[in-house]
Amino acid sequence: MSALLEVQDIHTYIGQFHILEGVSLAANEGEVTVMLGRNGAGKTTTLRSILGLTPPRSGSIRFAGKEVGGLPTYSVAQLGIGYVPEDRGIFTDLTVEENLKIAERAKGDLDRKADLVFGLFPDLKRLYRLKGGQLSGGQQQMLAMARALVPDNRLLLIDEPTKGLAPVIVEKVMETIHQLKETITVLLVEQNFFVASGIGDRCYILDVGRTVHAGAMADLVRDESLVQRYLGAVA
Amino acid sequence: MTLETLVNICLQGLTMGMLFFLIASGLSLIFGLMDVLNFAHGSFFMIGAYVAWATFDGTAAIVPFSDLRFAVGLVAGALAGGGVGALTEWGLIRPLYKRPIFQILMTLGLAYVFTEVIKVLWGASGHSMARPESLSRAVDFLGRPFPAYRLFIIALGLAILLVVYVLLQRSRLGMIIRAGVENGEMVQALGINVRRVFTLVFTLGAALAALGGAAAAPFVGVYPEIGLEYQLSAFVVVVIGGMGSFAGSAAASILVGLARAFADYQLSPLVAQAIIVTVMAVVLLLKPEGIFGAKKGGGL
Repeated sequence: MSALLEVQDIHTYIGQFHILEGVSLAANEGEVTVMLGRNGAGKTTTLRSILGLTPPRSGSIRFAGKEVGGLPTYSVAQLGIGYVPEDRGIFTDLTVEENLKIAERAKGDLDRKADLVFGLFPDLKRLYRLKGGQLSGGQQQMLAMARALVPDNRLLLIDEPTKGLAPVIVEKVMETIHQLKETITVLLVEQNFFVASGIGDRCYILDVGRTVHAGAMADLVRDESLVQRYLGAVA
Repeated sequence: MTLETLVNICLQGLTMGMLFFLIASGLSLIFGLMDVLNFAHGSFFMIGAYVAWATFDGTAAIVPFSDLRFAVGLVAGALAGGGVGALTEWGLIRPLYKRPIFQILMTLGLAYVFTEVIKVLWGASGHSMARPESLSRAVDFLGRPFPAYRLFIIALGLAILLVVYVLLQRSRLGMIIRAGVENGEMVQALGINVRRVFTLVFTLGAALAALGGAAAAPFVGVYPEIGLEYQLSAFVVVVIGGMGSFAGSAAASILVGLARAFADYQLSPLVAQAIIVTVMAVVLLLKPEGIFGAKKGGGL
């Protein structure tokens, strides 16, 4: 099993605030890697650092064997990384169709991926002509994931996909991410340990800007004290 | 007020509205997409006016057909404005994207520099420009003569409005612009080089303003302050229409043009200008996202 993405000891500042103080992680090809941690631990900033949206000051980020630290965001994305941000990043004034089309990197990407995209998200067909702003939160989440699948991406960065969604929808989203595993590597940020433990292969725990634990998800589930220490009460 | 007068004022208002639109649409898109408050935008209007006039007058001895000279002048004006716009974005605006305050100061300073350069090149006083032969007639409009040239400006404005609207709604570039106005970061994360789109939009916006200036030249003449003067109205339009909203700036242009025409007729041009700036202040205080839409999430 080779690591598709390798983040090594990155330090990221936002303004003068030292947000990431040494985050390291790796995402293996074909797996779902989960990043856990409390609010403000630096999970979102880690994803944004990988994409160059908040470029790290030091450390290394390798994707598919290539150093991507310091590249502009669009170049990093073009290498095959899809991003599903916490706020979903749906263009509210564009139709569902346009939201998918804009992600095309080569002409006809959407046609080529139609089976995959509409197989996973059949509802989008029905919503095709609606504007992004007319969709519910759950529908926007589906659209954001679908959009990341339109170009030939190898890695998806998904940030808190279940936030603010009803329990039924949460289950559906997680089921979908589980299915995604067959086609793409996923790096997932999830606050809800219970939800995350169901689909993760490997997991990392971040705390105040540092990686404090790395291991198999199955082992973490058994280690109650570790879960208590870094993730708080989990019942 | 008779019906003929009313129609006449409306046509006059539409004429001004279309000139406002040509300068405001670029201003609004540039702000919406790039967050650049471009105080040098009126300079492109001025450059367009001067280059069109210089081309028209300068070739009079060689080319006897005034219609042809006028057409070439329009194109030359728009190209000159677009060219200077592209250089401005690339050389002066781009290095300052991380320092927006400096960017504002830069564009403000540029406006004065451009005005002074124009004075050096063509003198501090204004020049009048003749209208091309086929547009110097008057057209009968409900029994009253109306200058054909103003109808030309209205037609030109409407044509550009339509072309830009279709470009925004139907092309991939338009889609990227609409998406970028709402969330530029996400557009980049999709693998799109937003900087290149910035340069393109800045250039197109500058070319549109310059085309407006070129079209205005035979109507109001050319003078160094023309840019700053029209820019003020354009800012009013952009605020009323909603920063970043193309449809908003189109609607607000016509609204402000009509308001100007009526106030010009009933009161005086100076009072009219003051009233419009007051309207802008009220909109800024009560509905800062504009009447027709907001930058974020409001879209077109």
